[in-house]
Amino acid sequence: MKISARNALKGKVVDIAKGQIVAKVKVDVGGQFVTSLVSVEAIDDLDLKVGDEVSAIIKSTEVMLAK
Amino acid sequence: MSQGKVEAMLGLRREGRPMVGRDRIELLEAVGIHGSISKAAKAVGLSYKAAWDALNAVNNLLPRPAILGQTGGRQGGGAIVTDDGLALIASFRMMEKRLEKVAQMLAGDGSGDSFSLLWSLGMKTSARNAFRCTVTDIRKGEVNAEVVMRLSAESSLTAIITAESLSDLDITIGREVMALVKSSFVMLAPGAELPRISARNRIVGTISHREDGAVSAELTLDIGDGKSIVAVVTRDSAEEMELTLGSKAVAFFKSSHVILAVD
Repeated sequence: MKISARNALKGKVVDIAKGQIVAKVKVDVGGQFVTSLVSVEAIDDLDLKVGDEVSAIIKSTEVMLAK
Repeated sequence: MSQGKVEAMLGLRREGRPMVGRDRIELLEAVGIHGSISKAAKAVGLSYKAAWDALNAVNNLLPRPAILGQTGGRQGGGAIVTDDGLALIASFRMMEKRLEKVAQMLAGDGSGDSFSLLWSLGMKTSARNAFRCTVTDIRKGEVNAEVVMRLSAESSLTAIITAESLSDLDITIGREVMALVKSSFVMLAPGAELPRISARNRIVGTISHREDGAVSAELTLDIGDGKSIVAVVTRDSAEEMELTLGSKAVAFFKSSHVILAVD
């Protein structure tokens, strides 16, 4: 999949916590965790389950830096 | 707002001609009700001459007259309010309502909702993407609410806002809303195939404009129905994906990146 986002971190879904509208998905990216909030509808659409291989996509404009 | 309601007065004037305010609009309404200037004048407590002058001022405001009829007769003759006149009444009343709202906000304790205030005054926003949509579905959770809107014949938009905003803005199915999306929130994928990605908003279009900067590239996607989406991506991305004029691309953005506004 080619998309404009500069950052695509490959990882594995380790946890999905579903709310009514939004779900929290925890992704293990080489020992570090990336947390994603996506809609429950998206989880169902992608048939996302714990153990799935996913890419955590982050637009470069969305990345904050701290020193 | 308990002590002394603030009243704002609306006046319309064209090129220094006499002002048309609420009194004259009321007179115009009276002509509509009574069908004659003399009766309308009596109803609002004016002399025939004063009413005639007032209606002239109203007629001067518009490119075409607001009333038609035998306005010069001794009895005043019959008169009717034209479609333009009716439109003037309607827009005057609407503007008056809005002005009233603004006045009440200004009259508040100063901690009033400045966003709503600015919006009522015809706020402009920096968001490049502003779509007028009709709400087609709402799903409400404890904290968040998902709002689905029709963008065009083929495409829809999804926004996730807080449940509180949903009730504050009184967003209901069938209501018209403005969906705002910053161009930097929009990502692009080449081709017409929707990427398998969690982003709820995926819209296929054709690249109609591309402006390259040193680091960023601004691309406009024609999505049909006379609508377009602007995306700002890195120039590297635009080049790697060969996003050139005329090529197909999918614009996608998270539903949590959609801001809703109502007027």
